[in-house]
Amino acid sequence: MPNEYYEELMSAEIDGELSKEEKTLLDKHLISNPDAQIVRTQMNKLSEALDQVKEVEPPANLGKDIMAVLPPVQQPGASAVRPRFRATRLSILKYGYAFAAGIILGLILHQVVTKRATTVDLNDLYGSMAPRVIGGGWQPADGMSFTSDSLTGSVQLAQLGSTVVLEFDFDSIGTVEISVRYDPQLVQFAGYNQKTSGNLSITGGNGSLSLGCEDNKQHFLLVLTSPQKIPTTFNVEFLVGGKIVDARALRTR
Amino acid sequence: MNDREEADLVAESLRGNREAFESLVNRYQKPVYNMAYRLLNNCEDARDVTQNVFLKAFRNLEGFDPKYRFFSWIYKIALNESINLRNSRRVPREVDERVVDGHPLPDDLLRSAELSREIQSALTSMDLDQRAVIVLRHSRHCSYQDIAQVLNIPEKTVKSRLFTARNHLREVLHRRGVL
Repeated sequence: MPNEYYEELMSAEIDGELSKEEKTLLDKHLISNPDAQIVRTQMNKLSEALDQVKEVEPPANLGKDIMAVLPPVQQPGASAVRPRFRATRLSILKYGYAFAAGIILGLILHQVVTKRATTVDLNDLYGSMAPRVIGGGWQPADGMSFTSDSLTGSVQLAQLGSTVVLEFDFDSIGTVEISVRYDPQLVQFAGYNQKTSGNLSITGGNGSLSLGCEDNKQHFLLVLTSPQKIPTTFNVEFLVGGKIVDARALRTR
Repeated sequence: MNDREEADLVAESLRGNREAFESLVNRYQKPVYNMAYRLLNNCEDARDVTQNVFLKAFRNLEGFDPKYRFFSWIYKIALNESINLRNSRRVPREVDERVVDGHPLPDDLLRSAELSREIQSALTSMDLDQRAVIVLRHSRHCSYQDIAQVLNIPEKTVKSRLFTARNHLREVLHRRGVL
């Protein structure tokens, strides 16, 4: 029998789908075949690892959002229930609410203070399947908010130990370019996480990052490390349609 | 909630009981969202798929055959919606992963998420067909019979597809030093 046959038996064994005869056959093969034993061990480890992958929490309001777009009453005996909304209305509603919320948030932030009690959620830093590894230890360090005809939103700077996060959350009309500059001797770029859809592009990485995105709602994190843990400055500049609409210096503590 | 209770909820929903359908939404939104997320590797896509799944389920509730289990019906819709969404995109969407110039994230953040991330990354290297059997078996704990029903394939094919998928994952993760 080819090895593949026995490996298929190993896979079925994981699922408890082996017959007695198949089990005997597999055990015999394993006794005289160390390579097969290694494959079986790996197969079992893989199965355990797959079973350990954490469940992702859906957005808190997902159930309500779903119910909100269904017809209010289902007609008894109707051949098929027809929703009053088309499926595309889902995203229109969602982004409509998000846009409105963005404007309100921007106005509030603009009028009050830029700093807030940030709780940067890194739960989905590697994709939201990642288990929660960070507690509430993130310290807000600095922030900026902006409201203009073409751009509304905020940037928050938070830090935990040697890790620094810049959280961008904004809506724009027109293509946005963002420049982030920092001292490459003190700070290294580690990665990013895009929290909403959009075509974010990032170039650079040695003291200067250039970000580009199309017009819509954007929410993403830039993750940087500052091993020396000394206060450092991030110069953030927003350009819409090639014109600078906001530029600030954000500083860690 | 057992199969009988679910069948009752479907019947109640068809009679116009909105709360009954809401119970089904509450029961299945997380499994459906997780399934879509594992298949598409993107939170926003998973959200869109989940919404569309329940909208379609609501529209076609009369088409549900009570001799089958509700979850296999809803998972089938979820799978089809995921495939449709993926096929509708000419350019694959950015996945929820660190990328750029190859710098790893800080060690303390990386460690406990590494395994999950590696697995999700390895999953995305497979065909959607193979991904689906892994997700249904390991995330949704479906039996061969359930998987066969959701994917509309013979149980024998489920068995061989699971083997192919696991072997692929095993090789990828072994190469990366995870196994």
